[in-house]
Amino acid sequence: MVVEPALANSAHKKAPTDKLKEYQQIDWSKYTIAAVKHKVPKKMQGNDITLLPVQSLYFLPEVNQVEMNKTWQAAGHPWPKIIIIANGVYDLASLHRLINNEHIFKKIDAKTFITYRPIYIAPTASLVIDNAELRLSTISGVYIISNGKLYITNSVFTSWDENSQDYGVREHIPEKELLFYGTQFPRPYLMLLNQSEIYAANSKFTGLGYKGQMGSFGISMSNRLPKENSAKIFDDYLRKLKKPTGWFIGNTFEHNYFGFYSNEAENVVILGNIYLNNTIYNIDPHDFSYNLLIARNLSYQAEHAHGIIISREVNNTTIAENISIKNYGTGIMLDRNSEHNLIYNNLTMANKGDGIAIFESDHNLLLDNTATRNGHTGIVVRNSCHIKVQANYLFRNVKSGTEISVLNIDYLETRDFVLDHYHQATSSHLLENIFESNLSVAINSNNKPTIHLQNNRYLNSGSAYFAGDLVALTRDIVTAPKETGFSYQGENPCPK
Amino acid sequence: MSKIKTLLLLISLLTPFSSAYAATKMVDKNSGQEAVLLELADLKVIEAYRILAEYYSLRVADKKYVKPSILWSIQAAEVGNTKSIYQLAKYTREFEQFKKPFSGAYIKQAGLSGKLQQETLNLIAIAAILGNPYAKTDLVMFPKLTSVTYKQVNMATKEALLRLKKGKLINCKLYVCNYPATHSVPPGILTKYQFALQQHTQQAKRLKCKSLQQCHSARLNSLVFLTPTKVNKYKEVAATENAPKIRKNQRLTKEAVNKTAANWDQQSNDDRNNKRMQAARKAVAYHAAADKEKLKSKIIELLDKMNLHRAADNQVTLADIMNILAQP
Repeated sequence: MVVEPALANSAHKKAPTDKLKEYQQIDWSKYTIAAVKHKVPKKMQGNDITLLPVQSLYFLPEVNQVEMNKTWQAAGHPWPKIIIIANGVYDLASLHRLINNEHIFKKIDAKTFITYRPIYIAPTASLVIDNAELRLSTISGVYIISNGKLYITNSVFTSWDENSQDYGVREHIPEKELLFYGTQFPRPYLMLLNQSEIYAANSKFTGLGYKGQMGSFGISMSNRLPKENSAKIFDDYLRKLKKPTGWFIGNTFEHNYFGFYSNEAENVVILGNIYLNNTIYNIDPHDFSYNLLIARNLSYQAEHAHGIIISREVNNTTIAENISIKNYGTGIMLDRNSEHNLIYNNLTMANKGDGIAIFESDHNLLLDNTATRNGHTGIVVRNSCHIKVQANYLFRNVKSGTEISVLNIDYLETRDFVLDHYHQATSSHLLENIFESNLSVAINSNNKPTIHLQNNRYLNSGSAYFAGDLVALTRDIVTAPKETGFSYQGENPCPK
Repeated sequence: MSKIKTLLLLISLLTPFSSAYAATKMVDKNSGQEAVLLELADLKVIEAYRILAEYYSLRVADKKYVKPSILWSIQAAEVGNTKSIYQLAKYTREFEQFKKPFSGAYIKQAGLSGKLQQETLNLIAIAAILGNPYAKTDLVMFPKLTSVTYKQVNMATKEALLRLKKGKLINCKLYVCNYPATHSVPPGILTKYQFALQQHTQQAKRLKCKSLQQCHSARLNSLVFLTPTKVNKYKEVAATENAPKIRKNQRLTKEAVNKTAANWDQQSNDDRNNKRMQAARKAVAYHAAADKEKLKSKIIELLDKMNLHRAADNQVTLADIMNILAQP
C-alpha cells in the first residue's frame, strides 16, 4: 500500500526540542565543501548517451513540454531531441565527446560548455560538473530533468542568452501577473525528480526558472508525479523510487525565479549558501517536504516575497543560524500546516515585512532568534497553536515586537481550504524574550488568542507595552510572578 | 440472459470502442452488463475479454478488482490485445519488483523471479511490435532507467518475434491462462500478427539500423504522446489556476478604490496611521548606525558559522552585510 505523503509525514513527527538536540549535536565537519568534493566520483565511465525525441518519453512531465513548446517552435525544432544520459558517470567533456555535435552540445573553451537541447539524467547515471561552466541555452528551450545523480562543484550552472552573452534575464511581468501560469517566457531550469540526488558546493546558479505548472521555478526537487495506477510502466516505476534529496553547501543562487523549491523532498541539506535577488522566494521548500536542514545561509533581497518560507506540511525541519535580511516580504515564514519545526538562532533584519511569521502552523519552536528593524513586526503568530516563542530578541521593529492573532482568512481567493485547512485559534507561550524599542508596542494581541507570558523583559517600548486584547491587562502582566507567569485565555480553544 | 440483451450488447461490442474510457462507459455493473460480459467471455467472445480486462484494470485502486484485472488481462493478452499485453507486462513487472502478494493467484511465483523480469520484457517487446506506443518507449528506456541490460532487451525482441510467428504470445508456465480454455487463436488474429511482423521487418530495412537497439530508438521518431486534447487540458488547468489570482487582483483593486473614496473619518484615520508608520520608519532609520554597531557581534557570530561551509575565497564578511543593509 502506498502511504499518502501527508500521513507518512505526520507519522514521523518529532518534537522541536528533539530537533534542537539533534542540531546541537551535528558534526559540522561532515558538511563542508571538502565533504561534497569527497562524494564526487573520480572516474568517468560509460558511453550510453543518446538523443531521443522528447515527445516520445511519456514519463517526463508533460506540462513542461507544453510550456516549452513555443520556445522550441521559435527555435525551429518544435519537438527537439533530448539528450539522455544513462548507465555511467559522465562529465561535461565526456558528454561533448560522445554527443559529438556542436549544434547540440558545444564546447566554448576548455571549461565552458553550452547545451542547445534538454538533458535527462536517468537513474542509472551520474553527471559531474566540476570546475566548469554549463550554460543552458535560453532561446533553444533547455532544461535538465534528473532521476539520477548530479554533482556540481566549483562550477557555474546558468541559463544563457547568446544575444546578450549573459544569463537569461527574466522579461518584465507586471507585478500582478507574476504568479500567473502561462504568461512567462520559459527560462531554463533544473528539476530533480524521484531517486535523484544532488551534491552542489561552491557553485553559482544563475538565471533559472519561471512560473510553470510543475517544478520549473529554477532549482527544484519534485515528487509530483502521475498518480498511482497509471497505465504506463515507467510512471509507476519512477513514482515508487525514493524521494529526491541532496546537499547544497557554500553555493550562490542569484536571479532565479525561486532560489530553491521542493515538493516532497526529504533530508535535504541547505547550508552556508547565499541566496539573493531571486524573483519570488529565495528558499521555498513546499508540499510535504520533510526533515530539511536550512542553516547558516545568507538570504537577502528576495525581490517580491520572502527570504525563507516553508509551506504546506513541511515538517520536522530546522531553520537555524541563517541571516535573512532586506527581503521584500518576511525574513522567515512557516505557512499552511508546517509543523514540528525548529526556528533557532536566526537573524532577521530590515525585511520589508515581518521578521518571522508563523501562519496556520502548529507545534513550532522559535528559540534564540533576533528579529530587528523589520518593516512590520518582529515575530507574528497567526492561527497557529502550541507555538513556543522563547529567548528571542525583538528589537526596534517598525510595528510590534510580537503579534499574536486569530484571523478569519476565509476570504483568501487563492487558498484551497480543503488542502490547506486551518483553525481560527492561536495559542502561544512567550517566555524569556526581550522586547526592546519596538516602535509601536512590545506585544500586540488580536481577536483573543490564548497567550502565556513568562519571564519576558520589556525595554523602552513605543507608545505602550501591550496592545489589542492585552492592553487592559498591562498591570497584571508586569506584576505576575516569574514562576507562574501570566495567562490570557483566548476564546477559541486550540486542538490538542 | 435474455436474447435481446445479448444481441444489444453484441452490437455495442462491435462498435469501435477501443479506449479504456469506452470500456468504463460500456460496462455498467448495476445494469448487469458486467455479468453479461462475463457470460460472453465464457462463450469465448474474445472482445469481451478485452473489455473486461480494461474495465477491471481501471479499477485496480480497489483491491477487489486486482485479481479479475490480472485474470482478464491474461486472457485478452493471449488473443493478442495489445493493451492487455502491456497491462500484463506491468503487472508482471510490479510482481517481480514489489512482490505484490495479490498477483500470486494468476502469476506463478515459485522460483521464477528472474524469469519474470525477462517475461516482462518479452511482453513489452510483443506489445511494441504490435504497435503499442508506450511499449515502444519502454523497450528503449528499460536498459537506461533500470538494471535491465541491452542484451536482455535483444533477447526479448527475438523471443517476441518467435512467439508472434507461432501465434502463441503468453508463456502459460508463468501465468494461469487456462480460463476459459481458449488456446486456439482465431485465424483473423493470426493474420494480424503476420501483418505486424511484416511491417516490423520492412520498417527495420527502411530505417537501416545497425542494431536492434538502434531500430527500437528510431521507431520512437513517430510517437507523439502530447495530443492537442492534452495540450488544451493543460491550458485549461492554467486558466483555472489563474482564475482566483485574477479575482484577488480585482478585490485588491476594488479595495484600493474604496480606500480613496473613504469618508472623512476613515481617511483621517488612515492618514494618522500612515504618518505614524512614516515616523516609525524614520526613527528606525535614525538609529541605523547605532543598531548595526549593537548587532555586529551577532552578525559576526553567524558569519563565522556560515563561513565554515564556504570556500576561503568566497567568504561573507561583516562589510558585505553592512553594504547590503546600507542599500536603499
